[in-house]
Amino acid sequence: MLRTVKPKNARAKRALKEREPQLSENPKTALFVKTQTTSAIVNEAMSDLYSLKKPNGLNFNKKNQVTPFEDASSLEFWSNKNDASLLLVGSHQKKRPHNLIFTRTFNYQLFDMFECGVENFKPMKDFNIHNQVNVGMKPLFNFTGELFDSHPKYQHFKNVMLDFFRGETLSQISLAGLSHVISCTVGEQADENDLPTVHFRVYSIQLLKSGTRTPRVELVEMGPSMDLTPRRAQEADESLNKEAYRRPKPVNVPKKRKNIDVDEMGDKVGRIHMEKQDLSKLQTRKVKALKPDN
Amino acid sequence: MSSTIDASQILAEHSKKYKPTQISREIPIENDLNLLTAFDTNAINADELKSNRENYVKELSRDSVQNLINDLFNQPITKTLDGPLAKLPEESVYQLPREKPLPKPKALTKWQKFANEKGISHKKKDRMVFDEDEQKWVPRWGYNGINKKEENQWLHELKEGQDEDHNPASAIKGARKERSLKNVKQQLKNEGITKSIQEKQKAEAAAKRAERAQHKQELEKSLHRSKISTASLGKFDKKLSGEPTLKGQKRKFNPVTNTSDEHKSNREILDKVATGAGKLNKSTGSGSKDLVNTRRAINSTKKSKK
Repeated sequence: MLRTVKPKNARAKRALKEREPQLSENPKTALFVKTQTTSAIVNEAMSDLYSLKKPNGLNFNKKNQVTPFEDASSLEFWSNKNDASLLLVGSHQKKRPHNLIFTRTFNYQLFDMFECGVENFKPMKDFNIHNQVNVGMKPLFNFTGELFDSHPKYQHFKNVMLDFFRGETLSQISLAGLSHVISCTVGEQADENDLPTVHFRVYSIQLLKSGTRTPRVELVEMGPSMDLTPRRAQEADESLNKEAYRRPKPVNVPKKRKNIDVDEMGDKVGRIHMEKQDLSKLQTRKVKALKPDN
Repeated sequence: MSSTIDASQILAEHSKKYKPTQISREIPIENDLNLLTAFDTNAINADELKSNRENYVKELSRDSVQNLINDLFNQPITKTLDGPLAKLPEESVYQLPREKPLPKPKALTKWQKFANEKGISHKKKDRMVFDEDEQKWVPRWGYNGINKKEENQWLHELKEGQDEDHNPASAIKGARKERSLKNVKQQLKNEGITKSIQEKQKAEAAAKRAERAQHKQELEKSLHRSKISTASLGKFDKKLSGEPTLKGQKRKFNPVTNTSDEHKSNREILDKVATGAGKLNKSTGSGSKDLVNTRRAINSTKKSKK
């Protein structure tokens, strides 16, 4: 663990305040970490994914001796040090060749991990450079396949991918800025233990005239392109999971008031309940002459 | 003669010119506009995925994206200089985990808690308030104040069982005056309390300061004494860095030439000796005025009588 520091000046105080939990969060930062042995494919895949993740990515230049599934303390340390909650660890071993481990942390603690192998890799530079997009564009996503909805492993994959690349949360988007789409497609299982590969593709979007209000969409592949085979995975801890999915209470939502409506004319209509009035006790003008004598 | 327009021909021409933008699927594609994501759960043609993978995947993706973009273009759009902006829903349907836990609500300060309990607001009350019945701004108090609205109304409701000579207007006015008097009384009381508290605190602080000063002086004195209590009177003792130098008494020399001062002081001493003013009497502490020690005399006579 990092030592907890008490800020001594205003700048440090501001920096620490930025790291504090916030109601609406900043985009998650991703660290790209290589283990001691990596292959050219893994290196290139990571640099391509990094360029997709820009500007919220941080590349570690040096190799590191990490085995996330055995000991994740280093990952947690890096996460804390860089205020990053996403880590992509690339490795290459005989047992698990061309390996990518998508790791997430929650509050600088390990949240979950998803490991997959890279096959049929085609880097970005093999595609036409003119189709590639600017830094920081918000991607569209597409998940095709029944398994993304039914199989827990692929649900996990979907969640990780969305979390990794979605970037900022926006309230409105420029329609001219719909630049590229990250598409994941998975076929069907041959049997119960079969884990089919996910076809990870990135296309740039071209909006063509259609003669209607909505344009005609054409896709041009911009890379990277790879087939990802699910390997090991570590699900999130139950309590951590609950904490991570907690939503803030909505603010300034007016409470529904009972018996008050607005009709179609825009008039406020209230419904009230009255007891039946007792007219025999109605107060009338008091005259002395009508008073009973005592 | 009017010629009939053949719509089918125009449609055909249009379709020849432009490709369609609508897609149809067995299970409709779900979109999450906040995340800009399409979820297509339709079954996939396994043979085509095997034989013609790239084109098939691209075609599937295109359809999903087309559907998503159709939805986006149907969102409320605002036009800006940078191009049209489509409004996105506030919350995503598909939930993703947070990065850090929700921030804890800040603890209220002691004052805030107290203020909440008492209903104290730091905002100053406006002098004018809006009268909903009259639909105009009126002062809170004073001439035509809203606090006199009830007592000034032309019609009062008489409740059952009230005296005939009961005047509701004056009763309300009396109650208002009473409230105001009560407030004045409370104000005076509070002022008195705060004043007495402040005085008490001041006195306490002064006493504390005096005590500390005395303590400091005593400490310095004893330190001084211990320093000169060695055989060499502290001359060869090791000095600490930053140790305060001891202040001894300064010798004062009277002038040698002008002897009028000396003369005067000698005279005073002589006077004292002559009158016996400087003579110490241990039992009384003052032996100047009467030569007989009265207390002692009384005591001795008492003893002798016994």
